[in-house]
Amino acid sequence: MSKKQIKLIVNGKEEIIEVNPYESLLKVLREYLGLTGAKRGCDYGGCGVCTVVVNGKAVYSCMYPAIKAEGKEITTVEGLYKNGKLHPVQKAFIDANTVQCGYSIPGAIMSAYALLLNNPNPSDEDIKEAFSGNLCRCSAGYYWPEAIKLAIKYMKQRES
Amino acid sequence: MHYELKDYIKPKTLEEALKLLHDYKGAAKIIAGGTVIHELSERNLLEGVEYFVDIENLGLNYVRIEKDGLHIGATTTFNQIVNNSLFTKPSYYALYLAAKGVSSYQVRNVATIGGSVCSSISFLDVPNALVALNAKAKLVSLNGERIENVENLFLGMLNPNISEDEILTEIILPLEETKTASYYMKLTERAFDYAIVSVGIKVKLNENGYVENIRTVFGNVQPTPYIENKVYEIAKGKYINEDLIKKIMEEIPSVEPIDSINASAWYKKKVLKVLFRDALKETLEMIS
Amino acid sequence: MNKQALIEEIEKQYYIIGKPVERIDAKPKVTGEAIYGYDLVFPKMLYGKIKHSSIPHGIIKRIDTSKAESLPGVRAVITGKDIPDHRYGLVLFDRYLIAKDRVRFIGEAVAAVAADTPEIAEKAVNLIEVEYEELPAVFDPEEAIKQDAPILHPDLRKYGTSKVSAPWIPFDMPNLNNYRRVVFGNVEESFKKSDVIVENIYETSMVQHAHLEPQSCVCIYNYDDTFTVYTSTQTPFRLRFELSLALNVPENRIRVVSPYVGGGFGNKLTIYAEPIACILSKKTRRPVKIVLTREEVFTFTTVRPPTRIYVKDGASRDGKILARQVRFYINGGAYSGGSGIAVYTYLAAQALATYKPESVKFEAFSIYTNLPPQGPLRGVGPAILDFAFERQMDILAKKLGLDPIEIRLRNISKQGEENIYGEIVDEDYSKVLLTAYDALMKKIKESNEEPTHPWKRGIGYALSSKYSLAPTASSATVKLREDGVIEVFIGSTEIGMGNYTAMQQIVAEEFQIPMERVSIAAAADTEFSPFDEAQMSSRTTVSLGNALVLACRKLKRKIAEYAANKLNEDPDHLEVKEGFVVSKRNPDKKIRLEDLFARGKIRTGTFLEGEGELIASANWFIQAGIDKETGRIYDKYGNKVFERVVNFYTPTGVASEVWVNVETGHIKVKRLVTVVDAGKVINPKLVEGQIIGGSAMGISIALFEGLQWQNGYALNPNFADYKLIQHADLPEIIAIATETPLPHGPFGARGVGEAGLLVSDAIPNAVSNAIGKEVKKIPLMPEYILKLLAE
Ligand SMILES: Cc1cc2nc3c(=O)[nH]c(=O)nc-3n(C[C@H](O)[C@H](O)[C@H](O)COP(=O)(O)OP(=O)(O)OC[C@H]3O[C@@H](n4cnc5c(N)ncnc54)[C@H](O)[C@@H]3O)c2cc1C
Ligand code: FES
Repeated sequence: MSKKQIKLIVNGKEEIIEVNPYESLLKVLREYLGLTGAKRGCDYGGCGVCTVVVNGKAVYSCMYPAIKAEGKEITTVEGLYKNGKLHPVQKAFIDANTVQCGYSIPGAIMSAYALLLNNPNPSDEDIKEAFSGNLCRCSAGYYWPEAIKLAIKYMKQRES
Repeated sequence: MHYELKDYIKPKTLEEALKLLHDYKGAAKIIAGGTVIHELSERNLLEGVEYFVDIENLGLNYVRIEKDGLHIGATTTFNQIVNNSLFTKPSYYALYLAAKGVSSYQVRNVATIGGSVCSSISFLDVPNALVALNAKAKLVSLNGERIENVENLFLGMLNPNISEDEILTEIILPLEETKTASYYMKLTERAFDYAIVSVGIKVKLNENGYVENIRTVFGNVQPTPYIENKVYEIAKGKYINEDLIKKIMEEIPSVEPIDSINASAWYKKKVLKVLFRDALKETLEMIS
Repeated sequence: MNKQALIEEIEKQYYIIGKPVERIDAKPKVTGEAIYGYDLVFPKMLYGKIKHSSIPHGIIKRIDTSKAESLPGVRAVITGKDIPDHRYGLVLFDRYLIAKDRVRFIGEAVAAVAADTPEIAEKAVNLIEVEYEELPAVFDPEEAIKQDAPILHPDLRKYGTSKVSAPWIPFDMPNLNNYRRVVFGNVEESFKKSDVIVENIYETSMVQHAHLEPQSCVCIYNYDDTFTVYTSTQTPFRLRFELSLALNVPENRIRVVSPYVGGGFGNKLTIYAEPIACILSKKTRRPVKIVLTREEVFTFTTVRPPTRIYVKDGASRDGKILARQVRFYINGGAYSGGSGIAVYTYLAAQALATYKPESVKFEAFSIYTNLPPQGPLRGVGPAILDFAFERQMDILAKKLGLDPIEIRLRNISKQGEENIYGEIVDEDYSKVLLTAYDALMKKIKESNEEPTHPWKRGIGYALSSKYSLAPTASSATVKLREDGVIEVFIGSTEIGMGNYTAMQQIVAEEFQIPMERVSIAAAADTEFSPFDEAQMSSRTTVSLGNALVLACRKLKRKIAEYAANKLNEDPDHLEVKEGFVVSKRNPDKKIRLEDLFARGKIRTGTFLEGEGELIASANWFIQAGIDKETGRIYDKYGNKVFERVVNFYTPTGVASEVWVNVETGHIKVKRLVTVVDAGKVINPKLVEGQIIGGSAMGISIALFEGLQWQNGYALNPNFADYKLIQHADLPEIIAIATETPLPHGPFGARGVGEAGLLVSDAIPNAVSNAIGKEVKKIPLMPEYILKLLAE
């Protein structure tokens, strides 16, 4: 098994790493780059705690080959927290009371972030679809739609 | 993901990819979105595979209308289908619904239409919708190309009628037709879930409102998409009213469904009728 | 004074109790900075992997590890031969950490590997060859107690047991490992008097906790022959106790540390991979990390056991229950599962406390089978028994032509009187039920949504009391820091309930200082944290909260005494609040807490002259128990042997509206009201989160969840086939906290973590109401509903 050198752009920063041919983006983020914000809950697309954003789209990093991500823009939950300031989506997730054990939260935040990136005014149905791939055992995501609505408000405030 | 490979290759042209598949025949596996591949690797079903050939960069990501039909490139993702207004037209609506109903948004962002057909899994939604829409697939290898009806690519569970050195390059749907509509409906346990059973329908009526053609597909009823010919036999040339629907419901399914963990054949038989009725009504509503 | 003004008046008493302050762990969790057990890495760390049994029951004939050992990168391979000859458990010591000679369920550990990478470890595990001699296996509890059933533990009577709540096996019954009885009054007599008798059999499925963070640990064997165990647990102290048994090492040589925990729900109350990682670490002299896969979480850890419940109720014409007779069969799995066999037999019975029939005879049988061991799940069984009891209530009501609310009110245990156990009732049961009822009716009236064919509407209620177990103890330490901050040391883990926030609020309240002036310093480290039993059984707010209040008061006194000299004031007249020590007689006499520290007397640092530290510890303990024969606090001669059976109860009422599709059997929960009596709400956001969470889990268990097995093999140990509720399946949930003070709770508070699960018992009633057929098992799979309708 020969390692391959690849270049990833993670949270706006270029990273050069050596990976095995079929290694998941999740493994690379967590184990090579120390970005443990993306979690592992099942490793096969069942829970969504590993969700990160690749080229503006939410994906399961546990089943996304790292080599496939080469040259693409990857955003993780760590990338939203800049200069000591919470991203509006992060603040909204706090204010909407979403946090309990917190294990599903980074993934859900990335799904929310991707949703608002592509669709700044989502309908209730859009919100349901956006979270269709994220489980949460503490609250089943009860407060997530509220968080989306708050995030939209905070983003507008930030613009004005 | 503990699968060991010699290499993960990302060819830039179709020719390059075909050559790789040819040279490494048996040891090379196509990877598109990778969502089913991942499952195969977790279940140790990739024995003998040493190379992945990623087909993302072959230029197979397109949707275009040509003289002979609507061509959808193999690496078009489910969400690209959902976000393309072409597919909300009645003739293609079944495909739109199938893609939109996929159980996880993250999967919709990467899973490809080609991968869904080539997986040969009978409970997946997109292939069943494609079969309902009379879709054809174009398969290319160094030896040439062939065009097949999508249903003919299913031999059994995880057993596609596709050679290891072939690439499915595109799906071809018939051009939009008048007085035609299609629908896809699945029964699930949760709001977003795999289908317990599903129904894909495409109906074409003639000028007078009588059935010119009707095609019905049941998902997760047999190990491959099941085309329910009974419906056409009964409805052909007729006007669809409540009585006719009742009559069809009595006759379907014409096959004993397979059992699943969460549903027995008994249950599937019962709900298929209902699902069919509802899907048919939705379809007809779109025509009128 | 109007009600609102009155509430505001009461609220004014408190500085910060009752306020929706932000969780102290919210920010690290939304930024991804919070570190969980799964995230830990250490220098030179190896990766462990467990080889599990591939058969449900058998004798290990031979294990060949040679191929695994010769794989490059493998550092150690261990089997049952490498472990101490010591069985562990919490109340019954029935399990080896790795099977020595016999396997009893397919998840059981038979060998383990430590290697340089997880991939190598996995490969090595697959290279281990195990040869078994299969034994007949048994999977149903009532099959397992038949005379010719295969015996799982022939040496059961020789096993060690705990001194506290050791199992009770009063008669010979194959595979029985614990029994509980409750005898109140004389059921035979009462049945004779009854006008109606309702007798049914109920079944519940095997449920998995499905916390999203799989169990993960890093264990380190240190040069001084001690172990440091970093692990995702709800209970560092209990874990240390079980580890000491399993490893045959004194507790004082084991240190357990628990960072943030990604959910537990009762599944992280016992050891799994920790002792294995310890032994691998000792062998390799390197840190060893083991994380479970999702499939292992499903098959190797504990589950809420499947049960079968026989209930026979006799009632008078006016709806008073005269006799209730229950036989409760627990499909207990292959081992006691840490706390499993204790809690299901013992504690589930507390569901009986809600109502007061004239007589009760209850028997619980915990039975070994060749399935994964039973463990608590958001409580240990009351939600299971309540399913049966609350169904019975509705069926009785229907028979007698009574309203379901009315029949419940006629039978509740009344405040101030004794419940069937003999405990004095502090709880107001009618309040939670009527609050739930009113709120649902109001909601339904407000909406004019009506179901149309094929949907049918049904309304269903449930009423119960979630007990919190006892005896139990918590200790807490608080310390004044040189910057005036109060540092808190507790041994409780943060598994999601927000207990760190609530505890910080309690300290802030006691000292009347803002949250930032309190710091939870060393959390959940057995080396530094005072003892706390566990984060379980809705106990933390009451137990630990009480310990903290006591510790704070001690510390305040100490501070006052220390400041007395400086202020030249009698300590009795000094008050510690708002960051100062102030004289009650002369408010000008005051000193800032940080100014108690000597500054500028030496070149660096500050100190408390003549004192060292201003630090105080306190403990809170509650005794409880039963007479075995009666199952009550009274023995059969009427002597009181204990004051209480449990610590307290949390009354809960649920009202639900469902729509059922009579063509497909699908169920939509439309509206849900969950009312939990919080005693006193410490933080409304946290309380609401717990009620919502319990409710969501309750819906999920009622509608979807069941881990299925065929001949001992799991059919759906994954998230595609084992269905957890998703966000899109949630209805609007109205969460209400009522406040009937608990006399011995801090500020009157009760625990609320588990109570919401009662939702799983209201939904079956609503569904039965909708379809006119009596459901008798959960989950309510669509197929089951159609079968009932086809009857
Ligand atoms: C969590 C989860 C939920 C899902 N839910 C649903 C659902 O609700 N409904 C549904 O319909 N599906 C669902 N799917 C399955 C989904 O349809 C498939 O994952 C997807 O369509 C496969 O596409 P892919 O590009 O990822 O295929 P890949 O995994 O890349 O490939 C799949 C197979 O096809 C072969 N292959 C791929 N492309 C080609 C090609 N162009 N030519 C020849 N061979 C090819 C590969 O070699 C492989 O054998 C789900 C999957 C996951 C993981
Ligand atoms: S870890 Fe990726 S979906 Fe569960």
